[in-house]
Amino acid sequence: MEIIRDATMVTCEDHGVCGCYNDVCGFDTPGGGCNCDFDSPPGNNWGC
Amino acid sequence: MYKVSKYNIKLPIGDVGFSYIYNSKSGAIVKLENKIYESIARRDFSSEEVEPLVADLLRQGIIVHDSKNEVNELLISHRIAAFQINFNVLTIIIAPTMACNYRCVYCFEEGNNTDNSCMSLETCNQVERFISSLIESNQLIKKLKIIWFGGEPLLAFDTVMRPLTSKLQTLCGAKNIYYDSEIVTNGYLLDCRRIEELLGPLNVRGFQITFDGREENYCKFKKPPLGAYERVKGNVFALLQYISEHGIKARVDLRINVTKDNMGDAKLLVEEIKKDKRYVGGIHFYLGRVRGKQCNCDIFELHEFEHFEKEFADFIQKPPHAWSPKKVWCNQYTLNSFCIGPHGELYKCEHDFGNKNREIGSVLRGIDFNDFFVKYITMPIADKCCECILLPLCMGGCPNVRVADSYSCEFSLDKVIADACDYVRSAYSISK
Repeated sequence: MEIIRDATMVTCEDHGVCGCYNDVCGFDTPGGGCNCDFDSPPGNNWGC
Repeated sequence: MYKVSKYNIKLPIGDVGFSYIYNSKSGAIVKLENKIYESIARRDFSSEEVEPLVADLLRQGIIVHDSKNEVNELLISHRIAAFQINFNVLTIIIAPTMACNYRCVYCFEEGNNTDNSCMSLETCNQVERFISSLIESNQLIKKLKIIWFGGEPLLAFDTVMRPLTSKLQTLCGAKNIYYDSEIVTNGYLLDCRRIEELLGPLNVRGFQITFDGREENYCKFKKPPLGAYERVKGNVFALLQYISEHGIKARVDLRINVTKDNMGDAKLLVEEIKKDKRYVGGIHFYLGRVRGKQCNCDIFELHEFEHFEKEFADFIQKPPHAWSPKKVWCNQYTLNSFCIGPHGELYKCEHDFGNKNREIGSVLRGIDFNDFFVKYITMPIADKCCECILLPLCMGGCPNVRVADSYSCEFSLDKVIADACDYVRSAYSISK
């Protein structure tokens, strides 16, 4: 088995909520309340 | 004993001998030999090929313990996320005024907007006290995020944004909390003085500016003041230049709201901007789907929008991304997020600004815990959504739609599969 996208890296447990309104996460609600910094958590390469 | 997760989605990659599985609940994507996938599917976990993989398959959510009810687990974590106030970020969306210098044809505030006044100094003081009380009640808050909304917030730049930011920054300084800010603006008033102040003392680090096409469509859709198109373009270039020159980590999102009427202009707008000598890079282009009931435009059905969105994503060479699970659709659903109108009235969602029926309190008296607020926070997820394989990705979708006893699919299974396939192909450089 190869893990192409690791589930343990997907969600940002520090913040718990990901509601980005930008195109990184694909959600576009203005002011949708992204609680994430784009560079966290370490090693996360798809935005939040 | 184990069973296969009900959220596994087999991806049509076309790689002979292998199965690619995306799990919408965990977000994992794994590649398995077909014979192993077939063993798992018939719940044969004891073979010498599968047994060593069980721990990883569990960790990736591809299989789960036989007794686990995955839907109930999602619903409980959804409810916990809504009520949990130990997130360390307090998000407040402020409309300092409902006045606007544009008259966008799709504006959801059109029917609610009868008041052009700005937030008073007295209300600004009450806003500060309200936010202070929220921070006092939650010692875990480490960051205050203010999102300036409207109306057009820059119309209240001198009278509200600057003085209120100063108050809130002082508050944050005293409590050792990081102050962060974003703005949703049409950009008309985003001149050099304001750019300097927004990126400097006001610490705004995110800008969302809407274009809706090149000049003809821009004027048709947004009904701006004369000369606005070139003026706003110039302002955006100046903003990018300032960010670049000063090495500031700030984000500029250029939103293109599309209907079938202006879709042809989206790519041409991107080209026009990228070819301009003043463009130094740094814009994140993205599409918004117009859905306004007041709008007489020829609006997209979901599948039509997704088709065009894909075409646009390829055009701007957007990196592939697979969808991630989330506990709630948006932050507004949680107890650590509020919206404040120009008179200090409180709402849960910024789309309700000006709608008296959706007020939930005021900065002066706090949350009323009225029936609307209770319904918003406690409403169940529709049965149809609970049966959906995409439930972990949207958790019932927009709460503002759900609270009206409705639901709307924000994306389709086809879209999720296509994006996951693109992600895999990108990872392995597999051509279509």
